[in-house]
Amino acid sequence: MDDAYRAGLHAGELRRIALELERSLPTGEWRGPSELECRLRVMDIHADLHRVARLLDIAAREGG
Amino acid sequence: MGENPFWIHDPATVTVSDEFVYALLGTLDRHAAGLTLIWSDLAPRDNPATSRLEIPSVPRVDLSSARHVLSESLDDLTWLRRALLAYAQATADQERARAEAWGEPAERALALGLSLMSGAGVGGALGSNPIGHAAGTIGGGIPREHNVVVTESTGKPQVAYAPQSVGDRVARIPSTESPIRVERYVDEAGIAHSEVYVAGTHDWGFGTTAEPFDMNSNIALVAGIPAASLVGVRNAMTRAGIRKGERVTFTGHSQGGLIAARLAESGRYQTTGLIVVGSPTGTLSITGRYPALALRHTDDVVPRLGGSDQGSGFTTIERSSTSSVGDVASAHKKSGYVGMARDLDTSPAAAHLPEIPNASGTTQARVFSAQRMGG
Repeated sequence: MDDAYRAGLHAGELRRIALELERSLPTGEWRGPSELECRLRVMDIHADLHRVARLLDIAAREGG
Repeated sequence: MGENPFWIHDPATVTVSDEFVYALLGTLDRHAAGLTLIWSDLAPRDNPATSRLEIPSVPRVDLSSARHVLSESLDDLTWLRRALLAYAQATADQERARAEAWGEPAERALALGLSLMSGAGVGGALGSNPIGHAAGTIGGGIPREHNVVVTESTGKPQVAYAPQSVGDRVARIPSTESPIRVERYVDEAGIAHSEVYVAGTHDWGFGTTAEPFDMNSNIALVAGIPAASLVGVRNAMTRAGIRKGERVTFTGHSQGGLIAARLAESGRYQTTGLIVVGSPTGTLSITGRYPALALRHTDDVVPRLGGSDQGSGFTTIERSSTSSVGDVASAHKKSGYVGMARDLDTSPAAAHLPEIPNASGTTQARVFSAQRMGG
């Protein structure tokens, strides 16, 4: 499997994980540790995963 | 659903959490390893210990920064997972303390009352499993041999599609008049996978009629001695063509859940799943390697009649039935549990619960009634 193809696969996987995390955010009353802090962490992870996915997309496109 | 969330007790992690915390923890657990693998794959070539991804033809794309960002994500993920687990474990500790302060004394008082009423000694009420002991003492007068005849309903044949969810299964638990339903699916390779559904108590007397789904059977099942209703279900399964060693998923309400659990643990079948709703399974322990779910309304008193869980192995899902205060019958009704199971199917927690394998295709559902013969 060549590197560009692998980069594309990783990008897709990161987006899938980011989407699943976003969907895991509570929609009802939260009964867990600090809701604000938890939401912020999930949003940080979500944004970071998309950022890495974009970088890998560019690598895949230009490397392929 | 937000106002009345599910509370989930997971025996694997010994934590208690509401459905949203449970779902988030499950998602983090599921993806931590995958993200670490991708992070390793982005390592530069000068690290010979790992597999690497490098695009030499594209110097503009700085993969080391991608790796750094991913590393920050993994740190956030680890922090979040620790915080959620600590919260869920603190909740479990609170539950345990509450059970010790209120549940166990109440359970001992109930066991003591039952033992005194039956003229038995009171020693068992002081032991580690008072309800099980009391049931065993009272059950001393229940016959051990049962002759139970099952009769198949002769109504219009019912075509059944293989159930695909907890809600599908709980909705198929039959009425107490014909308390046993069996669906046997055979795939193209000839492998059979059966679904067995068992209803709850029909007669609240103690062995006074020919009805095997009575209080005698309830006590026998809690005490772990042979019960007429269990014999009836086993006979119905044989009549429906289920053979020893075949794959079976069991679902039962109330007494039916106790029967389902005993058959699942019998070793006679290859149990692929167990769902009990509103069942007093406290004296039972799941030892097989199959998914076992227990659904309970927090205001349903029947599950508590089995005593507190003795390290049962069930993944327990609880929420209020939202019945009026003191409306004990409504909180235990099967119809309420059908709604609960349907809501569970659409909960974010559903994807992270132990997965029960599904059969496919169609078959003819067979429904049976049972009758105790002789003695």
